[in-house]
Amino acid sequence: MNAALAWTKQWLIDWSIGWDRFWFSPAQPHTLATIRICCGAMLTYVHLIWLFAINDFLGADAWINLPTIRQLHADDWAWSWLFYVGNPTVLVIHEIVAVCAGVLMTLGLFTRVAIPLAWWLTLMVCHRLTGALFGLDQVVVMLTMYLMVARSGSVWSLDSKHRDAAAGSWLRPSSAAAISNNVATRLIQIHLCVIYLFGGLSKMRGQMWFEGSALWYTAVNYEYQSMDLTWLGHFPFLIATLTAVTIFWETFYCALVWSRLTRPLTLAMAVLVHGGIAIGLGMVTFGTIMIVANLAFISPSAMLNCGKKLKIG
Amino acid sequence: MSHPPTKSSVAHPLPARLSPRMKWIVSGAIAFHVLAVVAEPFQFFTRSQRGVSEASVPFRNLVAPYTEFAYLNHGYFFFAPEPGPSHLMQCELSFEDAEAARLRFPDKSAQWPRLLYHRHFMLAEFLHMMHVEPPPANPSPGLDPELMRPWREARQQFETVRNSMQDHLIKRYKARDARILRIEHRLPSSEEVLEAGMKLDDAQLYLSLPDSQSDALLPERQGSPSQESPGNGLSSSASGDES
Repeated sequence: MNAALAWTKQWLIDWSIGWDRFWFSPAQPHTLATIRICCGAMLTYVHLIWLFAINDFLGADAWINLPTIRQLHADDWAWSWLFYVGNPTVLVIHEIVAVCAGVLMTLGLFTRVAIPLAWWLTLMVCHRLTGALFGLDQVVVMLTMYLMVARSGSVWSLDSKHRDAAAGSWLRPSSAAAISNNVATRLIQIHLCVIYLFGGLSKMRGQMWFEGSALWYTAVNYEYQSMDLTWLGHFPFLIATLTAVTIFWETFYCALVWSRLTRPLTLAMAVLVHGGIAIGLGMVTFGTIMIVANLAFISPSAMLNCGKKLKIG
Repeated sequence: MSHPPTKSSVAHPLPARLSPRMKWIVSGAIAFHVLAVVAEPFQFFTRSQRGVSEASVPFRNLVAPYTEFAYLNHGYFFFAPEPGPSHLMQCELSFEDAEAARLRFPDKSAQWPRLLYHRHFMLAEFLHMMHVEPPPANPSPGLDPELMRPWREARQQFETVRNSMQDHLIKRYKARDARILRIEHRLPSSEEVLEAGMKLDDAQLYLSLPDSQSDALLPERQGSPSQESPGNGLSSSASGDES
């Protein structure tokens, strides 16, 4: 009995040490800075598109008009001030501010303010635009949310050029390794694992992913297609193999990505899958942002070395 | 992931370590957030015709205000459980002073850049997802009215969304009337494409979906009404020829 208690106590202590090391080890900001730059550029692009289609999607007479969007969200917690705004001038100003926030985020200027502002404005737009959203919006909001926690603007940014002292300030924080950087990175990593796990598990509810034809039926979807991939049909073995590899990779990503031995292969597969989606299925934005999210598994030191080779900062 | 110290981390002092109390608070917040990130897709995953798993309900209810507001309430069912057919909107517009016209959403030739096209594609899929066929006008006398209520509410919500979209078309194109039909674009098999030479946008692959099961499932209509542009900036397309 005493042995069992001692074992349990030691197990809890080990667990606590592991938790502490996993979440509360300081980390450098270079990986998150790279994600910030890409994510800011994507947000800028997304809001530019909304800006030029403002009446069709956000206006009083949009596809989903104001009374309808309020009714759709009457019983949930999704709320946006845009549920009550139909004035085109106000909406244009809203989107111009959102574009500016995206640009500031990319440049890393006033990053501490720009990232929360970009997240909030994008969140408001996303709730307003129920029905017109897809994976891109889910992932870009998720990444921006986590970047708010970190000091991603402390390197490779205009903020770092204008920082007065090495110790930094709240607005222009130091580039030293920080716990907040680690927490943000871990949250992105875990969120990605959840996305891939349920993406894989959900495919297991269908038959095509098992019998090997899913990739064919994805490739011949005319509405998605941006490149003719019907030649794949001449190689049924290749289609079935790629289908099987995709579902196994997606389901077991959450385990394989943590081991140093399998991480490079897992990330290379992510680039192939999402690159394929970007090029073949016409979802360049979604494919790109998923590759950007996968950068969370690249160590800051590796990213820093890359930056040095590219002579950044 | 331990990383070797680099110049920048050596140059600046490490931030103050978190106090044990702060670690407990942050750990609690992290645990809640991770639960929120998992709870939503878990409930989505357990959905079936009989409802959702009871195991998912308490967790999901606990985090719902947070996940719904923070836009974390997703199932992540990408191309799952199986890659299915696409759904489009066939919009028939009539005008006071011009011939009737037909538009299709999404339309690769009319909506550019690709992201804008994809937004329209998602709208068409959303309308299809919302669709619930009309409940019977005269339900069986023995049928519990309480069972009919969710059906009526879901149908009413579909009609609200469809009417909103039709109103948008009327105002956008200054039409007298607009009507949206749901079109399903079936995915062809490899035999159809490689052996029979069927194109991916072959007219046979488009089906006009009925509003209720009492209506027949019809191949998508061709040619009528007029495909001419009403001359008011309408990016006229389409008929059954998707290209």
